[in-house]
Amino acid sequence: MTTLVAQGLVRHFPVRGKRVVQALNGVSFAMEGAVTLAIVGESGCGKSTLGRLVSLLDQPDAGTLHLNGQRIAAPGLAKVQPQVRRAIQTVFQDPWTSLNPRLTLGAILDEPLRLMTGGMNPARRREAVMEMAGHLGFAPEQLNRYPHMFSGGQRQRIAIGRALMLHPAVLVLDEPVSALDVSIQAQILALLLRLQRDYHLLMLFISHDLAVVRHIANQVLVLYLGKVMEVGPAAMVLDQPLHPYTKALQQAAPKLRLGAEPLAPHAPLPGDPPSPLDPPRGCVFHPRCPHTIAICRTEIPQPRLLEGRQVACHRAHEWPTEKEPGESATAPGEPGGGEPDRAADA
Amino acid sequence: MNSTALPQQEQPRQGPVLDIQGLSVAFRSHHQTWTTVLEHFDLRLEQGQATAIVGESGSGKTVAALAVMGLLPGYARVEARRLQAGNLDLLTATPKARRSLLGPTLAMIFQEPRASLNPSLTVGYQLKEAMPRGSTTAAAAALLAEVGMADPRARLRAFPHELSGGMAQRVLIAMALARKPAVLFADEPTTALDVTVQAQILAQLADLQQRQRMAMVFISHDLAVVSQVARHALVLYAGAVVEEGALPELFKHPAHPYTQGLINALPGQGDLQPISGLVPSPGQWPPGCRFAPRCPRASAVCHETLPPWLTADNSRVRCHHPLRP
Repeated sequence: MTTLVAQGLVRHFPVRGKRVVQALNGVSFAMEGAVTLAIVGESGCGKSTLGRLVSLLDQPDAGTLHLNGQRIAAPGLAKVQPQVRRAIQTVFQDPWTSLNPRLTLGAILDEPLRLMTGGMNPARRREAVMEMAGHLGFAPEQLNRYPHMFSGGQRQRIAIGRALMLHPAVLVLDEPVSALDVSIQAQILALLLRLQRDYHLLMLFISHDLAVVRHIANQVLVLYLGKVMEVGPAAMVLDQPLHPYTKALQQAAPKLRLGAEPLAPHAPLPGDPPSPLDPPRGCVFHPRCPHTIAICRTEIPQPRLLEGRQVACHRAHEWPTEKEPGESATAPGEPGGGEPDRAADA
Repeated sequence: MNSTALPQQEQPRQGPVLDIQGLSVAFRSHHQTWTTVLEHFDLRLEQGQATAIVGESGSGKTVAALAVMGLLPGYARVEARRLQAGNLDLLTATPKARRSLLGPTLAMIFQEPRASLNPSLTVGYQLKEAMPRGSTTAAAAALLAEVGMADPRARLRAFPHELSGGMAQRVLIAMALARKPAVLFADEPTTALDVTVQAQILAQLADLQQRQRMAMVFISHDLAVVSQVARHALVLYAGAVVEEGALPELFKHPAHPYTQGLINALPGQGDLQPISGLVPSPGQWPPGCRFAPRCPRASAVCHETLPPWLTADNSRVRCHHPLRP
């Protein structure tokens, strides 16, 4: 069973004037098995930076990443081993820019095999490409077509298929359905759930869309200005949030208005997130938080275990959620725990 | 900007502020053939009404707005039985007369707020361009405050790159409202924004629309967003309206299988049901009902004849087998 453990990941980008963008500031999580961890937060919170670190496209300034017990990322760690590179694959947001326009579908799916398997014979590569195309719902004659001849949803399927050609253990998906129409988005989510089961994938799903996350993720990690606000089983974090930021995100997500309630209500959070160049002292969320007290301005809240999830808020214990009787709390990062909001066989 | 307002704009309006009947738009391709992208489009708006156009990419929702605004490129052909904004017949009006509508009668905001601003000019300069000639800095600041911008005086001196996406969209809303338009087209104005900022902009737009008694056409692919700002919606599929009606009833009890399909495809309500297949491209629309090839209720007649409009109280649907009478 695949395990992926991140400990205290830090990534700072130096900018002009000896200043530093603190993109990630000590992010930890642990996952095991064919589960999905969703990373949510506003733009600039460090979601994609975290995705790039896990994809091994970038190196942390501090902290480590372990895959199946093996240290795969740490400051100054030398070149990525080919077998580790194969084990972690990525799907990007925009299928219009992530596919080479001069390669056919067949060549796109074949490329990872050609580059990373060290001389797999062409007949077997051809077989593997055909099999993947079938999995993705493409007919054999479509293998000779170019990316521009496919729709957005089909292109995203190609990008997912390409990522799976090497049978990775971990799939990092950076906003994979944000660029798609809602009817197509549902098709891609259903495909991802099927592939996760077939390939036993551990998925890291980066998204700003809480409804999508609720559908696909077992665990949720809420990032704000490079720090973890709350992490735990999706059902707990999203349905009974303890951190004021998670609550605000949940309230801000547009809901289908089906009753007589008034039009667009007042926004739960004023303003924009502060600049990661100069994050606030104390709790990074305190300038926008409706519950700020003196301690929030001076002391950084340490993550603590509360009601089955880890939460970094000085006041989290003051607003307990209704606990269902007999339910035992699952520690965050523990395998399983928290079923996504869908029928088991979606 | 030319500040000659039409005299009739000053009088109290009677009748609809926007009246579109049978609008169709076609684009000319390199081979000199015409491809229709929007057909049979009707929309009638009274003062202060907020309506929404919902549809997936390529459904023609933006084209409908651009046709009214007069912003389509030269290779587009616009035809209509009736196309009237304010008191002007857009089918016969001169380009100059149409131009004079932009601002006092028609205004539009777009999806990418920062792409709509000139990066080399300050916010204040660009805002004053949109305002009546001779407007003061104080008036510009007041306008920014009106759209919920914090510290408006300082923002007037800022350049677009110094603004967040949400602030840039507020500037564009301010520019659009500078001449108190009768109709505001908002084309996916929050799609590029974070949810927390989206909530701010939606609340602001809904508030301004109701307070200023302005008509608004809100264009979006997001049913949830639409339901938050509009009391009426048209659902567009492959260049034609398939259903329209009052909100929230339309989303609660849709009559067209496509509307129902869009609702079922929304995540966050248990089982997700994708709509199978793909939206047909313009030029490849099937005969009969365009949704028939993807429709679970389709029968032989759907593939052959375009369904007639079935009209109820304040809704109508174009379907041979509607989900409700």
